[in-house]
Amino acid sequence: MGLSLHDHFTIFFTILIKSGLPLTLKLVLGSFLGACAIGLAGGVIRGLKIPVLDQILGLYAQLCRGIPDMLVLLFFYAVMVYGSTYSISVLAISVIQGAYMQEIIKGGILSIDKGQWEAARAMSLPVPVVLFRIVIPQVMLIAMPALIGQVVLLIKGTSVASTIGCLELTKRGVIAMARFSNALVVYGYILIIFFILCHALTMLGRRVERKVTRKVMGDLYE
Amino acid sequence: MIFMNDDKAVILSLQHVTKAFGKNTVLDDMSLDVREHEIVVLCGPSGGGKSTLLRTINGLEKINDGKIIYRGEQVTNKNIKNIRKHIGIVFQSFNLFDNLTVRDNLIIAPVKVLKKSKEEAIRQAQEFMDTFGISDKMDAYPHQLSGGQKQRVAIVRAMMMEPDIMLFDEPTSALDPEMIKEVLDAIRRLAQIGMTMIIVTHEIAFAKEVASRMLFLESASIRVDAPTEEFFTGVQDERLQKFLSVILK
Repeated sequence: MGLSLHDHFTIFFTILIKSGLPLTLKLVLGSFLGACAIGLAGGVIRGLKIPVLDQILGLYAQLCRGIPDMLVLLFFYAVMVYGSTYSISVLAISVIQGAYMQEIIKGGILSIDKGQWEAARAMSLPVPVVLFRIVIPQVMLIAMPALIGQVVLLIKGTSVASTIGCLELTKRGVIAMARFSNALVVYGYILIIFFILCHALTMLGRRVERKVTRKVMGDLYE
Repeated sequence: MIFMNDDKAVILSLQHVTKAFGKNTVLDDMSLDVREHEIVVLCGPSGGGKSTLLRTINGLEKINDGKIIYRGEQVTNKNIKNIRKHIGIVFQSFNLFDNLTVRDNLIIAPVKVLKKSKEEAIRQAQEFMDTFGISDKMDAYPHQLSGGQKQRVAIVRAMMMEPDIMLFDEPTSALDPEMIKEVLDAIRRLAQIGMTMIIVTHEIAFAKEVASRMLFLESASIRVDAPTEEFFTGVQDERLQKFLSVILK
């Protein structure tokens, strides 16, 4: 049963860090960008209450929140004719996480003081200018903690890609188990890597938050 | 009705304007003409429809019936965007854009709506800020200003659109007493340059000083509409007398 130091090295570095982690990071980056794009577009549409689209996106959010992530992924895997397990995973995770981000951004937009819109309307400022120069920067400030929390969930959520054979961290671990049959060590390492990723992001998030605050509201904002 | 300046052009005319929120009628068949250089002050108990009347003028509230005519042109959904450019409004709660510096608050609309050059807009903003005694605040964010400073910036922001009529919706109601004067002084200055204004305020002494005409609104209608002098001395209206006796204590 005992694993040699060399085995530990093989599992941790050769298999997990060198082969698994890069793909996990690619999954995170890809689905982060996808989810942000969906979340921003959907959130703005819902925040502005554009008829029909608002209702459709509301249904979309309900569905994604009501269906297990793994089932969404398996569904995409079943219906997609083209695409690698990586790209299908990115798509599925983007769609799932985009729904959550959409709801966060929608909430942020609705929480912006009505007076900001009224002042803009009274001066005939075009809606895109109001959105991008005034509303969205303020939404970012309000929604930043929730969005960072959602990205942490996104990172953890990438492990679902292992179910369709995407060779990210978790899948590498499952395969390594066949060779080393030591769950405690193999899954233990994966657990540590994920924890470090998420923790680092939370830490980074706090700094980004402060930066965003300063950028949006100037110095000395409490 | 007799007005001293009957010969001046009517800029804005409200004709039989009616507005209801659900079953609650807030403006009941109101008519009002505003002439060039007139300063019309609306007063009356809360819930009388003062703010709503003001907000209908630049389309922040839609009217259910009647019409609003601006310089001979009836205000519609189509032309409201264009007409608004000429009507400045100052809100009770300032409504400065929180994430923009004073400078950007002032130039965003002139640049994006009036298509002025940035340099021109900044130069003009600086001039106004000098006039109102806050020229050192150009780089500040709204949260770094006092209430009185915020409201003066809001007045400058509205003036930057070169309006030919200014609306004030209880501009001093959210201010500490010591800041009220600086905002009233700013409005006095606009009065001196002949700006046409409609002001909703509870500052009756101020109204008496600057208004050319006073309106008393109660229960969704204009109960009294009289030149300022007459309003305070010659109008026989039980409700107005009661209101004035309370507010002048």
